[in-house]
Amino acid sequence: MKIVKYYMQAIKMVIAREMMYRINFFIRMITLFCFELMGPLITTLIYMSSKGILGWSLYEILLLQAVFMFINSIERMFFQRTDWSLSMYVRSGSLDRFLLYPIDTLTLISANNFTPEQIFTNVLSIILFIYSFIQLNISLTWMMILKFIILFIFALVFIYSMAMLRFSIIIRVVVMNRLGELHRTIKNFALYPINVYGPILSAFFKYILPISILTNYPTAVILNRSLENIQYVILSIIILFILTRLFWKNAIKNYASAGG
Amino acid sequence: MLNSVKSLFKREEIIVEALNSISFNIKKGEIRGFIGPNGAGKSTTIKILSGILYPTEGEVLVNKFKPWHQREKYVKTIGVVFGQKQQLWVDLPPLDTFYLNKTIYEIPDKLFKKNLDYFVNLFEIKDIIERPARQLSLGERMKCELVSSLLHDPDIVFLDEPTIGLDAIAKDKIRDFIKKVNKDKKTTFLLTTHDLDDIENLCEKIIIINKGLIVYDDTLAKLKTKVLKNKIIDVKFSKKIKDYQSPKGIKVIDKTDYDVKIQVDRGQHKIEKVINYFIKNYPIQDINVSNPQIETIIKKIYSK
Repeated sequence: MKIVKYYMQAIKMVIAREMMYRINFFIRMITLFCFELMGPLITTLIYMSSKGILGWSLYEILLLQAVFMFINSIERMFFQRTDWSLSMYVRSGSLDRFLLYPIDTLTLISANNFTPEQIFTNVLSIILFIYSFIQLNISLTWMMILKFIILFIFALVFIYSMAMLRFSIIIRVVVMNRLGELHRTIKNFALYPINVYGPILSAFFKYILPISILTNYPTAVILNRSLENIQYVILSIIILFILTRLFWKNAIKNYASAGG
Repeated sequence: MLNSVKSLFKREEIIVEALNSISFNIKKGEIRGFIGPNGAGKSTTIKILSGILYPTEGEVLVNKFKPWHQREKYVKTIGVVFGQKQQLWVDLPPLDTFYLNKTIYEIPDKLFKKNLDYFVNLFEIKDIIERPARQLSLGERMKCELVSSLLHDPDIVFLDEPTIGLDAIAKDKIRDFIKKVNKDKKTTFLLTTHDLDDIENLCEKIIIINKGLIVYDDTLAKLKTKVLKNKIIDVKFSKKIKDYQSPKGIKVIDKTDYDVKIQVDRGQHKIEKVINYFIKNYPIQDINVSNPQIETIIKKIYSK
């Protein structure tokens, strides 16, 4: 498929580009590694000095955070740099060149802004996942794996929808410096079980802005917990995808370019 | 300051018509010039034709496509080069961008190699396509940009000021390249430029746009005929002339105490009679007869 071929080629070029500035790449990688470790470390410290979160053991929370880290690293790999660069493209008018190629514009922009050092976070999340999984002594079935994959795909659809929403807003308003940060702040609510936030916020994070799909539901599958009302969460994601896709198309239609 | 703060809550909107019902046709295989003063609507037109912008109303058909409706299919048939916006990956060699374009445009291997060899030889850029683009000079980069836009054999190429900032030799090379590709591949070019030498060297027909309206759409030859019916005579006096009197019906373009520049309509006055008038009535150091610059007529059109 053309998009996959394009991504593979563009990623190779991005890595080649990053390797031209190796020191910068290594420092970014080390910084990221330390930053990502903080979440699980702090959680471990909390559990060492308190009872932690009611109904969740340390390794269950670490499993949830590993899932979050994995999905987060995929999102950052493809969309984080775009949060910064898109505003610059719109301001300077260089978004024009992304509209001149016979390939989906968002694919083109995100591939151009691929962040390769997130691969290490990916690896870290898999290590954490395997470690927690072993500690929990879980018996995995094929049905659980299948459900996990399906929910993971919906998590990716949610991430993609949120990216379309953010980028559409940036194209419309040109400068929106903190939008990416706002998104990350909201997303970080998924670092912990949704039920800790009370009934109203829980409902919001399940059915209106379903960040619960990022961690809670996939982890619930592995831990054999209830997937209560998952159908409404999935419906919410589908509606969000359709609406944000329309919003994105409208943003491109109203893009005014810059410069003569 | 107060207005800036007010604008946080309420903003006045002014509607500006970038283009006003413009209409033109371009035949396959043409190299059409598209000129106009700054802010006339040239780049807006190119962006609409290339599918970047959606017009508020009107019809555009390029190769039977409506650019903004079928964008992904349509852009496979066009190439675009912006003189002021780079499309090459800055940190990597142009060759990498060429291969990436090969994937995006799904160019078959044989065609890609054939076109790459053809363009690289035509521009003699074999040595530079493997150097990072940011290390190339402006002229070298522009050559690579042109190659990048042509690898997929587009039917039409939009060039938005491709020679801007280039030296005379680089400009000549770009012009020769465009002519050769147009001749060999029958590629249609629509060229916007402020450099009238580009127009004179490349275009048979030109469109002049001003304030969103097309003010001229015909051959360069016809435009020149309008110009060539006039002659410019520069007269230098050998001493100070205070009471200069122009021949009747002759337009004075410029005048000082020591020289005068006049425009003579050949349809109404004979050049030799005008020259004789000066020789008879004034002490002459030098007389020079020339054709008006094409810029003159275009500036006139721009200022309307």
